[in-house]
Amino acid sequence: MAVQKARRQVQALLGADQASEIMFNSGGTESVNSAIISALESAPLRREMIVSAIEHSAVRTLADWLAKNKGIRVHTIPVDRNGRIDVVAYKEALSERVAVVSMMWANNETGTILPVVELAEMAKEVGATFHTDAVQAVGKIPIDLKSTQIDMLSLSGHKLHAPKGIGALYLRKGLRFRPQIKGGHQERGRRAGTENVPGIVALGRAAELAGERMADDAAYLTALRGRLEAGLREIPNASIVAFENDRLPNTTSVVFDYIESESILLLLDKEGIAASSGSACSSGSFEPSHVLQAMNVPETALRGAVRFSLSRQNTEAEIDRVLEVLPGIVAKLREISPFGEGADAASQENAYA
Amino acid sequence: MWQCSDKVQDHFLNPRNVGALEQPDAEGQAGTIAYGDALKIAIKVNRDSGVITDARFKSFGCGVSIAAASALTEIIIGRTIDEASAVSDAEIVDYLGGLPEDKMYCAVLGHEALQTAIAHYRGENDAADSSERICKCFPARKAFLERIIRTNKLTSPGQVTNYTKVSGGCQSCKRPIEELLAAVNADMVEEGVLDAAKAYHAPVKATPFMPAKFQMNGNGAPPRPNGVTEANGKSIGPGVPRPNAAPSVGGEAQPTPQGLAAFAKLKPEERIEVVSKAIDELRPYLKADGGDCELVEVKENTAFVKLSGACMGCQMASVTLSGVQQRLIEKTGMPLRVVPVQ
Repeated sequence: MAVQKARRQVQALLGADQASEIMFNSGGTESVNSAIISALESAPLRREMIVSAIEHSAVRTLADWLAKNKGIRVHTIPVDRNGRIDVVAYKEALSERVAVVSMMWANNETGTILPVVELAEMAKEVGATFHTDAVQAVGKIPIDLKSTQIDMLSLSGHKLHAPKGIGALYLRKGLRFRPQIKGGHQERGRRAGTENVPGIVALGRAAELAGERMADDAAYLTALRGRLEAGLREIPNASIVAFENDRLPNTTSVVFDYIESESILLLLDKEGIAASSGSACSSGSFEPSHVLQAMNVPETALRGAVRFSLSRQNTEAEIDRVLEVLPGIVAKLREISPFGEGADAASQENAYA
Repeated sequence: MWQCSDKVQDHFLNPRNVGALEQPDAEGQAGTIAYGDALKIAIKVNRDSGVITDARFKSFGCGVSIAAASALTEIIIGRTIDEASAVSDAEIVDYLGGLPEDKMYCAVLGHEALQTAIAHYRGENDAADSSERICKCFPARKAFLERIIRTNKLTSPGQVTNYTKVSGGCQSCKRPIEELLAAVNADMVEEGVLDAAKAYHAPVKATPFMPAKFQMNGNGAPPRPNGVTEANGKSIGPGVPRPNAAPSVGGEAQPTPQGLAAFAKLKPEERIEVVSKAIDELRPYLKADGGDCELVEVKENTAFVKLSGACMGCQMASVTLSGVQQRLIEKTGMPLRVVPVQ
């Protein structure tokens, strides 16, 4: 009963036609993996898939693996410097050989929103299954799946204040689904294994709260972010990523020329301000962010990305505090940096902002 | 960072000797913006005593990178050029009271910048390292990697990444790094500078599946014509590397006597070149049907190829392969056999 209630709560948040279209699992990565592999298994004669260049590593790593080990041809659709998807390239890649298209609804590093509703309609014209990784979008922007052509949607609980380790996959009714975890008959035989009942109940409630507060939150966060961005734009050689694009109301990503994000984050942390870097540098890889690279952010700023994620608990006073200390931190690090002001003219000219 | 020693934190929050020197006696630098860390160092030297009287740095990078550069200036001020040139990566690490494993490259960067400054002071042409470049993502060459492995006695690929960032990006150089590390470690064991039990051994590469009937008879002669005939539509399941399809279709191309003679003379790498050129010419036709084919390796007179895209799991894959084989024989005049691998 509790699980049924949670299913209806998630159904309501997603605007799904039926509660049975919601399948609970362990989170975003499991959702993405089972969705894409199932779509490929369901259409064995179609040996191609399409993804965007800015997908989360859950999709990227899987796509690379499928290309390498299963001979799947993967089309990666580029984006422009504002993070807008190249629709012409997408149209060219679409054909009756494509089994599945997977495009994220909103990007995790920059907050940019992709026109997935339209992209899904285009995918339907060639009979491809359309999956969207909506981990960042669910609960932040209105979603009404029953009025779209989207076949599958992945979401993760902790992004809407449910605990970690719970997620869900939306499967349009009538869609062929090949279970990836084989075993018992839980979740209508689509996902075997004992259900994480406490997680499911929490996710349901979190979905309900997110739905109730979404409109208020969006207005509040947009205003808060506007205040932050107005201040950030005053900082020399700083640029807000995808400023002109549709973005989630809570995310802003800013790149600073000539300095490195980790040192900025450390000095912010010293002031009691938690932000994150755009790149995965701190998480085991030395490569700069693939998202910023795909958006053609130049070398001078590629390593200097800082992302602020706001929630309803943040206040205007906190924003003002950030704007009070950040310019000094940036100036201090530029003082130390061998690039930029005072350095050779060439690096000045190549500056991004 | 906040788990680092107090000394690291102090040097990051209050870096010493930041800036440039007016009329420095020598300058050195290491790293670039693309590398993710860069350091410029300038020194003033007393010409008579050879003592470094002042040093300044500018650094682009993470907190530890800035701290290591700051510490380096403190270490070298007051030392002679000769003493400074003996400063190792390990000394910088010790001076800071240790560094996190994955930040070792910061000390290496300081050491490299100092070495270029000293070379500059001595008027040495810092001979560019022209050895083979191994990693696509980060600019590190073989000779440099070998030196880092030796001086720091590295014995795992993860350590090599932590000291140089190499293989910390796309990972496509993972295998060459493993092989280099194993080779250098083996040398070090032989020289008696490394305990044999600690030396790294590269994982054994899985040998490609090749059933006995496709093994060569040892002296490079063509295999006996007893290949399985599956060109009549039997499927080759995806994921099952199955040698197949000795061409059984009528009117097949025959290797020419000239081709045979030429083939016998070719070195292995020349065979690969000829075959891969022929395959590249075929690929556009396969791509037009949504498929693709790439050469994996050539052994004796067998070309191992990998099919992808629409070819995978296609009922006609075996026919495609016979076609590829026929075209290869036509193009090269050589008695080639085409075997699909995964």
